[in-house]
Amino acid sequence: MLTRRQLIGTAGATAASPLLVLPASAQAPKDTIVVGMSIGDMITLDPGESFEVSGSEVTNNIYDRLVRPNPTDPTKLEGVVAASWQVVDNKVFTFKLKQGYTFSSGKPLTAEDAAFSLQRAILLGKTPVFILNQFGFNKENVTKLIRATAPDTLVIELPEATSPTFFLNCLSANVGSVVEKAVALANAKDGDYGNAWLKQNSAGSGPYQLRAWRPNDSVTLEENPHAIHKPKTRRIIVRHMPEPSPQALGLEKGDVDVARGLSADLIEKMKGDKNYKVITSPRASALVLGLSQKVAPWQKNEVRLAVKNAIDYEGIAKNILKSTYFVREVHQPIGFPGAVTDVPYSRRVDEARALMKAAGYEKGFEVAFDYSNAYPVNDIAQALQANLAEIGIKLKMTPAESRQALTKFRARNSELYMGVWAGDFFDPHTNTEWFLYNPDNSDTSKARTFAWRVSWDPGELSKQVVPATKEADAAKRIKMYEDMQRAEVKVSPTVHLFQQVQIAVTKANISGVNMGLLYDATRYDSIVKS
Amino acid sequence: MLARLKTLAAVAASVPITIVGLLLVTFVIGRVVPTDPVLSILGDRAPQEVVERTRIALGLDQPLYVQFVHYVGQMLKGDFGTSVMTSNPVARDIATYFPATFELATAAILIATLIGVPLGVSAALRQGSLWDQIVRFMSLIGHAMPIFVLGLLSLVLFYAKLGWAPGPGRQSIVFQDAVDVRTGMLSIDAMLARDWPALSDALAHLAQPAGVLAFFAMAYIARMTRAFMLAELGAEYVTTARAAGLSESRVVWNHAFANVRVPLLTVLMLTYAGLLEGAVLTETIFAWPGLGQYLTVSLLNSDMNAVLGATLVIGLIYVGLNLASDALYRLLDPRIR
Repeated sequence: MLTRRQLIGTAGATAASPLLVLPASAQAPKDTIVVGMSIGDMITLDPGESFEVSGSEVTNNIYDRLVRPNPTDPTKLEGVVAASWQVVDNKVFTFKLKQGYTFSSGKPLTAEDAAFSLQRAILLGKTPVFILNQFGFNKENVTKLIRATAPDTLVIELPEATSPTFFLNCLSANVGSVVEKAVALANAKDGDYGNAWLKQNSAGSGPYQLRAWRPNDSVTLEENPHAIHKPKTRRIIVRHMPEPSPQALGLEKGDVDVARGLSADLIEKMKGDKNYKVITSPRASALVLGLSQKVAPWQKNEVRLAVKNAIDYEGIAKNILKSTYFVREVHQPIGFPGAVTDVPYSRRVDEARALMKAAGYEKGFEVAFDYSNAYPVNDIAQALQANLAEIGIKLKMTPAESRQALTKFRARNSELYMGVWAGDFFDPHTNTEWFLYNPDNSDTSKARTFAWRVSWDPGELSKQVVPATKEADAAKRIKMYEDMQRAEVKVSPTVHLFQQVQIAVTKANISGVNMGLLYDATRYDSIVKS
Repeated sequence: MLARLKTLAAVAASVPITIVGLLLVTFVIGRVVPTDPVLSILGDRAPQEVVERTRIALGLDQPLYVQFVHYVGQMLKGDFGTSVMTSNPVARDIATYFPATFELATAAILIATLIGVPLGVSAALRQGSLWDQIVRFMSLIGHAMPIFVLGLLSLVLFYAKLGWAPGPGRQSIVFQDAVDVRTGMLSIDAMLARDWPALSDALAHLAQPAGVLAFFAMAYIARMTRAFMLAELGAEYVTTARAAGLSESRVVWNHAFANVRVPLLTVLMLTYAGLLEGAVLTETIFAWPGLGQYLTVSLLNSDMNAVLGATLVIGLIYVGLNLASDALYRLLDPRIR
């Protein structure tokens, strides 16, 4: 209990503290790297549940997966825990596991843990479960279909034949992380497979283990002493710094080693400064416009094409987005397997006006425009308003908090919507399905993709989506995705605008910052301070 | 005696009514905002059946009044529910975040009072002088300048340029987890543990955000003190006291200021309550994980359990401070006794 005297003592000391000669800020020791970024979205660190950007990035450094995209050539898959795999009839996958992977508890990783982790994700039934469930797994069949037949042998039997690359790519997602079975079960409560405990604790074999997560404050990771691949720096502290300016100041003073949320203008300033390193990497995250087919004019493809031809892509990229985004007009992000490099549209106002005339909308029309009132979306929205006004389309601007705008769009109530799309797993299917798959255009449909949300029936194109996931020949499969990308831009009510570039700024003495294409791919284990 | 009991009963009855009213308003606002709470928990990509399951688990399929009655019922049992954003029980979250805000707000109000009141009195005594102009100008800045601008300027000057103060956050990395958590206020915890380096570090981190907040509170307090004092100093009893030959300090402090204490107390209490609500912008700029930040992040994520829990705490603080100032009135003003 606090006494009055103590309280008064503190008050005096506090009031006097500005007068004290304060120590120059205690900089992070050499074996600690401080990453400054926003972790406001982090709600769980259980890899069977996590689907948020910052949380999934942290779990990627704590847990190992069976396979992953090769960091230097992401279109090639490589084994992490898996040494090799055999596929029979595009249905039965037999994985031989590597020796030497060890959990932070000191116990070796076995096929039993790998089988349990996949079963667990399905039995838990949290958000990322759809990545595994799309192959036909469910709570009833999963323990039969996924099993360890020897300590180093994992057998996964798919309910139906599928493209092996598709399945393996999906296993490289966060939900495929290997959790230590014994620890998860020892901490299970009410049949939750340790979910409540694993939200804030770790049981992985990756380079780091979780020391502490303080929501809206920090995440502290410490070296997993038993890890097969030791990290170069013993301790990583991810500090919640939602504002760009304090991040920049922290970087300048050496309190922050890696700043991950600087604004475009701060980055431009630091680019020329030899005290800093600016590291960039394209990210599979894009800005798109959705033109709802409930709005009569949007139903005409001429009008959709007119919009695609009216937008000043280059101007917006150069003046508003600077180095943080680049123009990307097809649905596969650069870096994904099968991504084509076409740039089908650019600003051609006369052509756009002619298309409007051909559609019978020479006089134009008005639609409501829903978007998030945050940078950079709100700035782009204003540029689009000016661009579309030139061809007679008047936008009634209705900015809202991002989740509020998304809620409206998800309920199919937006006439025109601009939002962010980020692929869920490292396979072209994730993007193609999102923009092209809509087998049931009714309000009660189960498949609530982007195509569904804009109430668009893609007809024949939608029917090509599933066969592409069954194609066993990898090269043929890639060709299918290329064709679908090119076909989509000609007819869809979706306008693909820009792809994001991830940017980290570090002091000159920091090296080894590797950011991957997918939202969860950033690794901390090679970061080092000299 | 009976009258006293009656007053007490009236106060006792008004508290729960205030609280229920507060909860009802917050609850209704939280439920009618056009954001889907399930979206915050599951994200945009959750399969439809998971969405449905969660909606039912949260009771969102029930009518609003059923949800509210259920919520209040749970709360009476001491269960504030679980926060979506942190996965912790809301009560535990508040116990984590509130001490940070309490530490900051208390430091700020103490600095503000210790400087603001003498400043206001001295300005009133020299009305129209250069000193008075300076005090009024500072009050004006405190009133007109957005707090985040001053916060950032302070960081640039004292942290980046001069290096006198540490950067954002509550403590340096080397002191993280160094002291056992007892009160949740790092400076107090360090003091209780007699860990002087940790105390100095905690105070150093506290100084800047508390100073910035105190500046704003001080500007208001000084302005109000000056106005109250001017009104009293012009009163006839002050002239009488002076004519009677009392010393100037007795006239000012024992006579004029004694009458200012009651309205000034209201100003101080309201300012303190405002600070305890959590200064969102200051907390954000200085990466200070307090109640204001918690409430804002929860609100933006439609994390209603957290919002309601935090609102209730803030409501209780207001009610508590109001009752406290009522009690202090009795102490300071003989007419109310």
